[in-house]
Amino acid sequence: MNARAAWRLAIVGASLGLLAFLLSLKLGAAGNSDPLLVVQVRLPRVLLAAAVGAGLAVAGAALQALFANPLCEPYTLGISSGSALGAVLGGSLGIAADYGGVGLTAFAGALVFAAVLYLLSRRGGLPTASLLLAGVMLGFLGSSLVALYMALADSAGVQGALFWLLGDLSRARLRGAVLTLGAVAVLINSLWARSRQLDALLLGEEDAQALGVDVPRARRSVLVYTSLLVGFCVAAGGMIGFVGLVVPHFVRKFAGSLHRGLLPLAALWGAAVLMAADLGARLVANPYELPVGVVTALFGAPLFLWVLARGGQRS
Amino acid sequence: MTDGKVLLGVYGLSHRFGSHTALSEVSLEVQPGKVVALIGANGCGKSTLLKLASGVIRRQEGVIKMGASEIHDLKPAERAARVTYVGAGVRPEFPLTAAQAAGLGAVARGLADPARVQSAMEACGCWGLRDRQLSSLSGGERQLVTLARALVQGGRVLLLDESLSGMDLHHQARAGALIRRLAREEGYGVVLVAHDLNLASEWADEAILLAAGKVVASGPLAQTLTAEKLAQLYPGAALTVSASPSSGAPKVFFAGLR
Repeated sequence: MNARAAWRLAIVGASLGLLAFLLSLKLGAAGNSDPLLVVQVRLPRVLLAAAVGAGLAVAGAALQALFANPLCEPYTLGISSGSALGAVLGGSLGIAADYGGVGLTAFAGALVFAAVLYLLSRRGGLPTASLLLAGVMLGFLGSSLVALYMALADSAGVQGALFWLLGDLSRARLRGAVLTLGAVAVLINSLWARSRQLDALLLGEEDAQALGVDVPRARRSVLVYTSLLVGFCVAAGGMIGFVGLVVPHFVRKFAGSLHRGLLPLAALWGAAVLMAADLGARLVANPYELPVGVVTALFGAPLFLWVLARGGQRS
Repeated sequence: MTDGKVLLGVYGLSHRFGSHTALSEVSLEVQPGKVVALIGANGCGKSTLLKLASGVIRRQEGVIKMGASEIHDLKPAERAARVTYVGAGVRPEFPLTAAQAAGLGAVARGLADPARVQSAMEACGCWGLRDRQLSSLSGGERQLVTLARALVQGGRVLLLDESLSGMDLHHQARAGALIRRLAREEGYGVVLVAHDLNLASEWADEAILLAAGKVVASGPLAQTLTAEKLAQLYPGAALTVSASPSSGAPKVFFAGLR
């Protein structure tokens, strides 16, 4: 069955992740391996890339199951956008001067947008398709408010807001990276513990209900854990696209959709992919750096098409 | 045969969607060993009735009892262990093998027991499809897998909502035989919605005729599948009914438009 494919995928993903991790420590614009540079600059950054990549990939997989829709991810549902809005507002109000403050407001933004989605779904039992549309609208709203802020802000404010919109890991510090890594690990584990509920949700609301899953309750807890996850990831690195959409799809193609295997593999591959992407972002335009969100988007779309085409051939 | 025991009882059930009355004052008892065909035109409330009876959608008015307990007092997992609702078939949007999809029947308990999945899939004649992706199966094959999922779920009350309609005759006959065997030998109580009256009459012991959310007739086939009563359900079709020469079951013939 899929077990062998899953193991192969795990081994390849782990090797790729390890390679990206070591290269990230070794390579850089400075071209040397000064221990201080490695520990204080490169290590936090690669740890943060791993945490954010894993978190976004698992959040994407969970949201796709939650809404039984392969197009869902933190971005299409507007949760990332709410989180970025929270971070920008926090910055402009001056309460987000340090990492902890940014985390708090980004996370509050994600929760508020997720809560609006959830309340909409509760009032009159909004069907899945409408919920997705509501998420898209929330995303527009969040992004427009960030854009409005940019139009009114001074140049420093515009720079700050751009950081959230593009996605960038260059601000990583060791304490923040370790904190994010720990939080992401705990939240992934909480979602993993709900693997079977997520499996049932893939079939849609009615079937999941018929199979004995308490759907409103399962949706509620998945939504809360996911928005926490997105809040931590966006607080640390801004809105980084593609990882939450493509990594779960890629893993499903080889290892199937059951979440007991899917979530750990998505975390592994999400971490590996974002570490590699961030390495590329640092090196490709040396001595300048690209925002990692630009790199993920540039490589993500063609890769997504390739995976789709391959899947089409096999079936 | 039945000992008068009721696996699932629905009494005085009414349901509205906005201003539209989907069901009014419907009662139905599911007894072990019996297969009941639920018959009616499109939109008459058949699916709503089965979804309510299985607790998939919430009751508005009336009583739904499983043994001594009201269905909505049961935890979802307890309810699902006793009553299985099967819709038109699993959805293929996400990559799943047939065996994984059938194993989802056990989702409220945890991981599926592989031996149980195998025996359910063998009973439904789809074990050969076990490693195939759902997206590569035909609609009828997916319905076989969904039926296997229902057996893995294992509720003694089996509510089949058009669950066999996409299968070819061979598989329909096989699924029908399986349903009859489950009822007779293992004490399942089955309600099935089918638009093919002649297949339904081959499998069912009794029929319930539903028109515009109301029960028009219920009871043994010989008393319910009659030309007069069916005319109330399908006013546009002229129908005649006669007994099958081989099984004696009532067979409905289409005699033209009215």
